Amino acid sequence: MKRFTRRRLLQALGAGTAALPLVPLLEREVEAATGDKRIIFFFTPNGLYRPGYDPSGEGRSFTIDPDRSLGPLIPYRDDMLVLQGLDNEAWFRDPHRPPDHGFRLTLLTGDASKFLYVRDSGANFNTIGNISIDQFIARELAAGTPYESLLLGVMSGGFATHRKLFARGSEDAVPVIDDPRQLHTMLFTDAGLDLEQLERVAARRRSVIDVVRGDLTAVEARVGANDREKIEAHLDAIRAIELRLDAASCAPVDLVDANAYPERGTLMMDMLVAALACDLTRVAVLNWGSAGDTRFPWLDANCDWHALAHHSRSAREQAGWRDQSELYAGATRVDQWHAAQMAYLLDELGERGIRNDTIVIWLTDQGQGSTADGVSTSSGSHDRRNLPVTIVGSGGGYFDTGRLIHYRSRPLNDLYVSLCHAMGLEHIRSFGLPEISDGPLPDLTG
Amino acid sequence: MSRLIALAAIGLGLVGCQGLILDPAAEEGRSADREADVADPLTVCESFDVGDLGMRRLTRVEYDHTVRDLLGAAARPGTTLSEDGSAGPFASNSRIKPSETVVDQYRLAAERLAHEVDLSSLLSCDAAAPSCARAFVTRFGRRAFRRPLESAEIDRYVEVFELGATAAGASPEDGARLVVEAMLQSPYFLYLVEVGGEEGEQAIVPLTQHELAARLSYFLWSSMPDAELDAAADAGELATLEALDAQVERMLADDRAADMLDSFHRQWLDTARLDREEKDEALYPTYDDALVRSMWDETRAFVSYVLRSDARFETLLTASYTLGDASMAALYGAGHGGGEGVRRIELDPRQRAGLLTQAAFLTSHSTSTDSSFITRGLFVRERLLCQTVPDPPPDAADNPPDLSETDAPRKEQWSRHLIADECRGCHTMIDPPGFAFEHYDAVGAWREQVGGWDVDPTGELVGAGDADGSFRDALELVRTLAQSQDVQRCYALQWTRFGLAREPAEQDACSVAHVRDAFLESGGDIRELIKAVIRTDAFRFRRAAREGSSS
Repeated sequence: MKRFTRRRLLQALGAGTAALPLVPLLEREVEAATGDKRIIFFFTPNGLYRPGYDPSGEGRSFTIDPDRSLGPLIPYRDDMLVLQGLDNEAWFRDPHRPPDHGFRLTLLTGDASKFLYVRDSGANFNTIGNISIDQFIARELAAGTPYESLLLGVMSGGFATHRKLFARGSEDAVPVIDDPRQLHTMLFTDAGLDLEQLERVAARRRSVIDVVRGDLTAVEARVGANDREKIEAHLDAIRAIELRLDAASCAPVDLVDANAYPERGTLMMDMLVAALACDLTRVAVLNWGSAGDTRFPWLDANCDWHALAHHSRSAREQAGWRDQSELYAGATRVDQWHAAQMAYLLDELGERGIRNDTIVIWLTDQGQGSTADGVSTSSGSHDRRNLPVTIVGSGGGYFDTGRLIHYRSRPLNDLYVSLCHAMGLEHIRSFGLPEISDGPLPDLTG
Repeated sequence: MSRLIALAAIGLGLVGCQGLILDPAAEEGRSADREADVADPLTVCESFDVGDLGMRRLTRVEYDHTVRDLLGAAARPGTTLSEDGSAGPFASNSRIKPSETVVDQYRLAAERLAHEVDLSSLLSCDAAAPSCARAFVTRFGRRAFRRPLESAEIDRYVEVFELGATAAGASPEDGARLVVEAMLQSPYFLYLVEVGGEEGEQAIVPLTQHELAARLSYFLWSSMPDAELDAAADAGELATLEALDAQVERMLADDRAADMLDSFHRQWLDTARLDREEKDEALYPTYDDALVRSMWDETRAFVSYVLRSDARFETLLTASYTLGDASMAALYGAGHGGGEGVRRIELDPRQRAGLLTQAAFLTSHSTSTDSSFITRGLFVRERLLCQTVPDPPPDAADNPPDLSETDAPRKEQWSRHLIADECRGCHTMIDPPGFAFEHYDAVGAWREQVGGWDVDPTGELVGAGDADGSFRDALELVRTLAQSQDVQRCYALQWTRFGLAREPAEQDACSVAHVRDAFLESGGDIRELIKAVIRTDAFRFRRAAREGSSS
């Protein structure tokens, strides 16, 4: 891997002012090198409407109906794995098995949730307590990129648990960045500055960090153990920020107004691709929508996502659908629209020449939003088995793609071990609850 | 973990729902031994002790208010910060650790604020003058860190000033800007750091005057102390309870206290969520952002008005008037007299009584298409009675069934759904106080019928201590709740959480009892309640660091 830092650039240029006119071009020197593996967790809540999603056939002969949910991904069919029969097994094993939407707390950790807070309202009783697979891969990769990982959301507020998918092993969830302006500032704040200006900004920041670190250390020496943990976390964060000071800036994406869900999604994806292309990170999450209340008026599905996933009467009434078949068609349109977003993301990665090094995995938290037929007045509960998994990208040839594989009830943990291997972390033997994790998924590799 | 569970037993304790209705005789027995049955750690006040508050990081609101008061900043950078943690219903960062993301957000906010700040009001000397750096650091640092700086600290920040002022292309003012940027990222700004004073042999030590001043201002104003409070702290004038009371009186009269009262009630009533609560347009065509703002303004103005008049909790829950604009008057079918502003509105006493019949509460405890008796009932249980209702069993449907059939009244339809005993146990506790509010639709408007059937707001409250009994309608229920000592104890506990910005621990038993008793003795006076929180040991003392970790 080659990384050009500002400092090394300056050294290479002899740090002379004579070289400065070259600088704007050199921004682009920090291109991601080919061969470095990347992974994007493309996450949508509420499961998928399975009759509208599941391709027909099996193995290499599976086919995708262009009118169904996976239609937009047909161009990527040969680079795709469709996996069926994977379960959120950890939720079933969780001694504090969280009810309701709490199954998200075990989804990406493959491990039990933690039972922590006094419940006052909502979902604070259980919380995510272990490391999630995205953070695990980021930590193990130790790629030395400015950001170990980037967690982005597309209007993903809403249910508290929906945002508690990602964690680093403490009980505090890693926050998802929903605000495009904030992300833009983080990634591109120094774009347009020349090398000399950048050096000056970095020097300022370094002096600030030094004095702040001094204050933190002074406080740390005088507080009890609980507070020391907070200071340690704060110091770790400062250290990570300091490492970023040497990173060059990336060519910025235009910060357009994007207040509607589709435009917001495009903007966040554009910034994500820019960040990956100039190697700001190797691991990313794109967390789509709010499980509770995102609506899809432009798809003629103007109802709460959650109600839609439950195939409930309330969804029908909100959207003005006459019958259940209209609801299923609407649910399929919503899933298909997200597949089209994944296709756009893949296209853009291709434009930047990094698609072949990137695994994009579409995960959702349920098998199907509702276990009920939706015809009766009572809505069914969410299904925690047979979660649909769609992967595009072979991880540099690790996966034997272009197949649909139906497993007979395997824990998601096996998939997570496979992802580690695909990312070059072959030494990982198990992930999450040991009793349900003893290696990768069979039959996946080439 | 066991301690946390014990804490859940505060007040009336855990509502063990299962089997309640299956065996009424057993339930009777349970109620009778409740005191003995649920050991409430917070009723045992035996010794002088306080829990570990933990170093608390500013919440988003506190951050915004603080930069407003410190820098005169109009920006609201708090909205760019990651979500806060919680203490009960209230935002609090006393437990959670800072994420890398939020620390980076602090950096970006500090860079921007330092760049935009109007230095003329902060810099009282010529930045190029030799003594100016030291004067600026001393003066600005005093306010940013909420205490006088030690001389070594001054030296270090003077270095920052000089570095900023002498960088290539920089002006002397850039030195001051760099100091602002750095101090806004210091733990002494971002946290309420409480490490001062001599610890000696004591496990419990009094806060320093400056630490106490900061706790006061962050409780009453969600912001830093003002010049007068700073001066009192510098002069050591916060050492007596009388002096504290006097400061509290002064601070409650300030506009910033209205923000605090609004913030407490907004979080307690959980009305903040209205900002992203959508309603079905066909059913509620008048519902829009402007109406939501009017709802919030109503509750804010009403609470503030009650505090200025008799300040009684009972008035808060039972007043037959409110303060609102014309759109609220229209929603209540009451007269307003026209005009733009918020004014006192007399309500129909057969329809409205206090906060729980106001639109903000009713609307936030509804779905997009209808009222929600479950969330309204849960509010009574959890936030008015401080009871802990267990989560529904894992396989319970997490969407309530549709109750829009018209072949039977809603209550009857619902009881058809509640076949499983494991559901009925809890719902017998939750539903009756929720059904009491069925006269109010999803935006809080009055209705006589639901689905073609007359609303039946009657019911019986069980397992609610001295609030137990049958009620004719929401108005009678609300009056009973307002007079209930159990409810008043719970309200006092909510204020204790809010004031301390954390869950009280076992060691705070005496403090919790003190607040509760003071509130009851005052006849439910909210001003006395606020003062009582500040008079507690938990508010004025801390655990020594070597004792500090109690996990």
